[in-house]
Amino acid sequence: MGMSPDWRLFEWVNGLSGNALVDALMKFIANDYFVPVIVTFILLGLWFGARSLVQRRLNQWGVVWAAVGVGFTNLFIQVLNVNIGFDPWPRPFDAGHNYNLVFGYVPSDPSFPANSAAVAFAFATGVFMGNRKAGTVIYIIATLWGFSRVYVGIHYPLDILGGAFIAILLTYLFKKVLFLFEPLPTLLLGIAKTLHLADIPEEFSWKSINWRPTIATKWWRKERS
Amino acid sequence: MNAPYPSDMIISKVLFFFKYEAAAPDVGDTKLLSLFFFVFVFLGSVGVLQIAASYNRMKALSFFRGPKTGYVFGVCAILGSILIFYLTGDRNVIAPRLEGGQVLGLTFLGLATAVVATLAIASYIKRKQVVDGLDEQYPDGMEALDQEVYLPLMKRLWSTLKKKGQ
Repeated sequence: MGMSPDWRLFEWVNGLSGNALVDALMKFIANDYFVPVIVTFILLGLWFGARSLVQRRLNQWGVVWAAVGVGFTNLFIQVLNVNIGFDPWPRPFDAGHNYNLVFGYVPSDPSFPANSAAVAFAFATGVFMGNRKAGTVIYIIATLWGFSRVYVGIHYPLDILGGAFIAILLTYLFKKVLFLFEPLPTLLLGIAKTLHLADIPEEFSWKSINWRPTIATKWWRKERS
Repeated sequence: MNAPYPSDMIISKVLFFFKYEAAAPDVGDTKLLSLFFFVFVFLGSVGVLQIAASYNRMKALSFFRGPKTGYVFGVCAILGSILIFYLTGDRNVIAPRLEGGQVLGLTFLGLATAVVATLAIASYIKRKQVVDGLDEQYPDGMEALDQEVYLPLMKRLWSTLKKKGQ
């Protein structure tokens, strides 16, 4: 029986390993900590680091959408993998084909979808909707992280693509339906604005908060009309 | 035996629903790794804030008078944080290892501590440059950080809240 294109692509990318210098670089990028922290630094820089008020507001919305996207993407993957038990295939090093495992790895979650890729692409998508340039930079970092995870032998390419697809879709979706969670977002951002730590929401006063949840408000208005 | 608090029951039910405890593998003693990871995020975040403050001329965040010193300090802090974290141990080992929830929690803690520490240190360094806290009118949001250090802004907010409360 022939190998699937995913397996062949994995073996090709993973087969590139062997050069000590490139391996060390890929180990560094594929690490569980480096990319999330660097992306967090970028988000912090975006929050505080725009000269114009308009751009700062856009950046801050981007950071909010990214944070919400990461939260819901993680929740979705947790429910998919742990609660539903969706675990379609083992990790490459457990699947019985040729591989080079560049460093020792004990997985704590299923191979598909790649949680790392999901987090990085959720960050990138959220930021991209507020700041295209910064979003593109994070997309490049996310792609490099995904590539390095295949290179070191802990994910298949389809794991990375699946994680990225879920993250992009959910982050975009939750940006569109964030208003359903009112008044929580306005309240939290309003507190931050009062403490001079945010510039959104644009028009904010404590009296302007709609204290009823939005879905309930709509239902209540419908009943009355 | 005392009855468990309702909040404890809710938390344990949530954890059980997501099978969090069952899913978390044994990753060894993570205390020292957590500490180094916190320092990594904290120090790097302070560096990022200094670069942002220098770029924006944000008085409330900047430790320095000139922007160039801020840029140099920021870059050194970020590189230093990476070096401290990666030169103090092999971060690709199986145990100890931080799980996703721990990474998220420590990252948030490091960021929040860095913001608070930066605002406090900048307020202390620039305490003699304070214009006047209570009667000044400052813009809403972060624009006020360009004009004043953080402590007088909080004093003004506190006095406003007190006036409204009376």
